[in-house]
Amino acid sequence: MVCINMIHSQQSQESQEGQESRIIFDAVSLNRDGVEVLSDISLALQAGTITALLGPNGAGKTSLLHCASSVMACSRGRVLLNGADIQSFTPPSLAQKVAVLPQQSGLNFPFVVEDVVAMGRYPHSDGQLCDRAIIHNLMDLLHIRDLAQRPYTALSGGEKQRTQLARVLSQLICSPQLDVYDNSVLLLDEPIAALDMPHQTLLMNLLQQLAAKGLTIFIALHDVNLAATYADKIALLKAGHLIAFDSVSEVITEAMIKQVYDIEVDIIAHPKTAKPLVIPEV
Amino acid sequence: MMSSADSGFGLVGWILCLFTPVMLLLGLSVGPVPIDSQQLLQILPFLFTDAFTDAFTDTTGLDPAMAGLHTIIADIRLPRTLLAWLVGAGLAISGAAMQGLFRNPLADPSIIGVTSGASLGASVAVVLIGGGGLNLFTDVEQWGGLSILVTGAFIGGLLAALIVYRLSTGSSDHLSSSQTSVATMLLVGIAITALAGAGNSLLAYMTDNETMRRISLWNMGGLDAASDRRVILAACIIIPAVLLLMRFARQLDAMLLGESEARHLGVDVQRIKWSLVVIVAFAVASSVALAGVIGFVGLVVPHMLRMLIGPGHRRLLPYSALAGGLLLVAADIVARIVLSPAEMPVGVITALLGAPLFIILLRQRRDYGMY
Repeated sequence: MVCINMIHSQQSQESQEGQESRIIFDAVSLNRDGVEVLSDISLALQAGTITALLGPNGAGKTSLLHCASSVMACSRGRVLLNGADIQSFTPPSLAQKVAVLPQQSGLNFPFVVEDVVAMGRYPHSDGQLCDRAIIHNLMDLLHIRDLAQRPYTALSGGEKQRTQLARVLSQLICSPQLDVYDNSVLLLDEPIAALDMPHQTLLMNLLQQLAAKGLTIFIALHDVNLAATYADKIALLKAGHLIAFDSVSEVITEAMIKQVYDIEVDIIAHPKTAKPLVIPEV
Repeated sequence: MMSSADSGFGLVGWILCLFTPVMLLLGLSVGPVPIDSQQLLQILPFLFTDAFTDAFTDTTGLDPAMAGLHTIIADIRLPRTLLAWLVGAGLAISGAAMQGLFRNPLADPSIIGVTSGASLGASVAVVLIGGGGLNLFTDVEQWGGLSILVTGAFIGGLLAALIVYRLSTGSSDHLSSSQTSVATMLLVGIAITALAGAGNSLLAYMTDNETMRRISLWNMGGLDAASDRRVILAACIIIPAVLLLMRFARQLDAMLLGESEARHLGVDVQRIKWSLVVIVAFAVASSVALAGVIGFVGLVVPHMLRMLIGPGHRRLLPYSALAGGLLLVAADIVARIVLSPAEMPVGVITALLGAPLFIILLRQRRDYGMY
């Protein structure tokens, strides 16, 4: 109870400052097949920020995202979206606020790329011209405009990933100028795994741009350095427990990395950004 | 939805619309007694003048020489052609919808066991109506008898569809639920087909000759039993089913992305599943009850259309209905003339078309990421 009260008072303070919590995990636990995959996780995602979710394989990153997208109901605790229990949203109303990119995609039918991206506009009806402008703009940004009429099934892994990203982003963007819908949240599970280095940077920069427009982004990553460079806050998970949730400089420390990943690392300052840069010891 | 390949009614659609009346007229004119286009034009105005009180048989004002031909068309070919058209449309759109629901181009109602389930249900109904000792209705061809037949087929088809779907997709809280298992789906289909076959044989063994003959009819596909009543009943079920299924185009597109992706796009997956399974069970059940087991229409038609227009359901669903109707009317024409004056069951023709395609699709299944 103490914890809940703390979050609530924190939230009211922040809304006075115009910085409200978009998603709140309130003592969330999750059991699957009798195993506790998440235990008592409380954290609040601030509006207009990027929060990176780090942790070793099997730490519960995907499960936490599932709770945030209401795919799974928490065994204990609850997830609040804009102050309301996420389980109380109907699928259409949730889809207008929350877009989700899963780790893998099961699309095996030869939709052309443009049609896949256009599916992101299903929850909204802003008129065809507006939809088309948004979709085309996103396809330009993610370098898939040339592929617009190619069947999805014929794409490479990275091209498929960029197509899915464009689809998920088009669900939250309401103008070709990349304005985002009010109070919306983007959940990304390992979005960069299939991307080459230029596209990783491209995507992370795009996400920063969208966060500046007010989008709240929760992103599960493996690349600690990418998280350190682009995230506002980092949540560290290990075996279903939240080890740390704080700013980058507080979380990315040699001791913390050792505790969570069980490897020795050196941390230096990035020569340009001065953000922490993690170098595994050889 | 606003994408390039999915807006408006395309060329393929117009071609299908154009061919539909042509094929229907062909269905009326081809047969052991050929009727040419001039005769057809003379007879046509008299076909629908009094359709509901004395269905299809008002001949007043027609040249007596033509009255015989009129009888052939009104009593035999018109109901038969219309039934073929309706059943073909219903089966094809059902196939397209099931394939969207299962995210799998092999999910034809006849392959996954829905058709067999419906035929067992229909057989049980026949036994209840006739030889089972209940004698609810003296004649299956009465409205009441036909309704019970459709109801029996519906219950059987619905149960089969639910069993296949439950077994071949993971439980909803499991991560692998985004994929349906093709192998499980096909094997469950085989199991249900075997079970229904055994049930049919058992019923046939236990009842009298007349009932046995009727039961064996369902396993062959019998458009020759077409009657005005059957056509009207089929129309009352299949036309609403087609119109309802077309409303799910957008949700089915989203379902192809994966179940959880569809939910993230605002699709109420659980409700869609139930609605689709119930509507498809109705459409398949009515076609099995009224025209027998006709396989592969739901496999062949959507597959060929996907090659022409892509997988988008906004077009695939209505086009499947149009093309399915065309295909079954054409198959029925072929069935009538190949062994003329004898007839082949139309199910044989569709199986000859569909089985090789099914094997080709099985070989290509890696393209669809299926194992």
